[in-house]
Amino acid sequence: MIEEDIDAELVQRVQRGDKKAFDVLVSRYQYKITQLVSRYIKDPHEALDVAQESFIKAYRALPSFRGESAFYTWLYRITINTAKNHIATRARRPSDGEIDVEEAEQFESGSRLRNHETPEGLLMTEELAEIIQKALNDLPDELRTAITLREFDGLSYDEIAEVMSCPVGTVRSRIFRAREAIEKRLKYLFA
Amino acid sequence: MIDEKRAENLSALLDGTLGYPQARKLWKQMETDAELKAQWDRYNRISCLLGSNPGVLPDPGFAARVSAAIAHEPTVLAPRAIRRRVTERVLSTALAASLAMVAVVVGKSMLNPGTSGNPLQVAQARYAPLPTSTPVAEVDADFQNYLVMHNETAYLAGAQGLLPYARVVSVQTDR
Repeated sequence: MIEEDIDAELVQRVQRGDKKAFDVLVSRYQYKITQLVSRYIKDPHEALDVAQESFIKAYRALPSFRGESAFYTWLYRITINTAKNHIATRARRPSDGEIDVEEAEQFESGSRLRNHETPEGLLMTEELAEIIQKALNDLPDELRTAITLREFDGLSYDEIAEVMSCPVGTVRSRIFRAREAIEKRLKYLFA
Repeated sequence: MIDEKRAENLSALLDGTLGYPQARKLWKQMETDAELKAQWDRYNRISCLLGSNPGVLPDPGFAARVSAAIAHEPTVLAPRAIRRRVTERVLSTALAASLAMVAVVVGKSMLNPGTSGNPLQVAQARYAPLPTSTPVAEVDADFQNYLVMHNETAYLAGAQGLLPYARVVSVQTDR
């Protein structure tokens, strides 16, 4: 509800002509949207183009957004449609004719469309997974448990507090410290 | 370098556990504080990378490219659209509640002209004088007694007003 309230406020600002507020909406959702697109389009460059196009389409359509659904739900729909249109357009091109967008919808998360995965991409993913695993392993037990329960198991702070028999404030602090420690290990990736 | 407290708040914001005033304040600060926003981006990247299927991550210039593209777009102007919608929601809910109340009151008075609306009285007035030659006579006597007793005692359990009466009428019609 808090997230929806913040979105509604930002949308109102955009609807009053404040373009900076749309930058905030992009900051809030760029990760979710690119991850969503990459479930349909594996090529990173294409996925980023489609994600960008989705945001631009959303901006253009904002005057007609009446807040009947949550902003993210609305943006999600625009993104899915943009991704499908992109795939359909590509499918009409002779070189990519083997991909059938209608057929693709029958597969969970568009998994059929992941045939853009390159050996280099796989290697990168494997290496990255290794680095992250090592970063996790090197964390003190209580930090590793807290971040694992949060990021892998999706537990809330309250649930983690119960599992770890500690106050919620401690959970919050442990997760933060775990992120800080991982950030230090992955710093070169963010440069 | 952002201070530890704000960084911890960002981490909590990422997990959706920050209260509205603090969350709003941080988002406001991120509009002008590039360092804070960069930290937000790093936490998001870590979170995505820790996920089972990281997928594609937006590059650091992604938001700037969208912003540049939006800069060339005509400015959106749809003032108070959402606020109007919220007001409409409140008004329509109030109107629906008023109409429902009117319907109950009017319906009750139409069904029970001259009665006080007490379910006990309604049940007695309705069933006691009915002649046995009417279709009601076909209703099993035990079942009829059960219904009357039910109505006589239903109000003790807090079931008052139109509802108990309506229940009896519907059963009678079905029979």
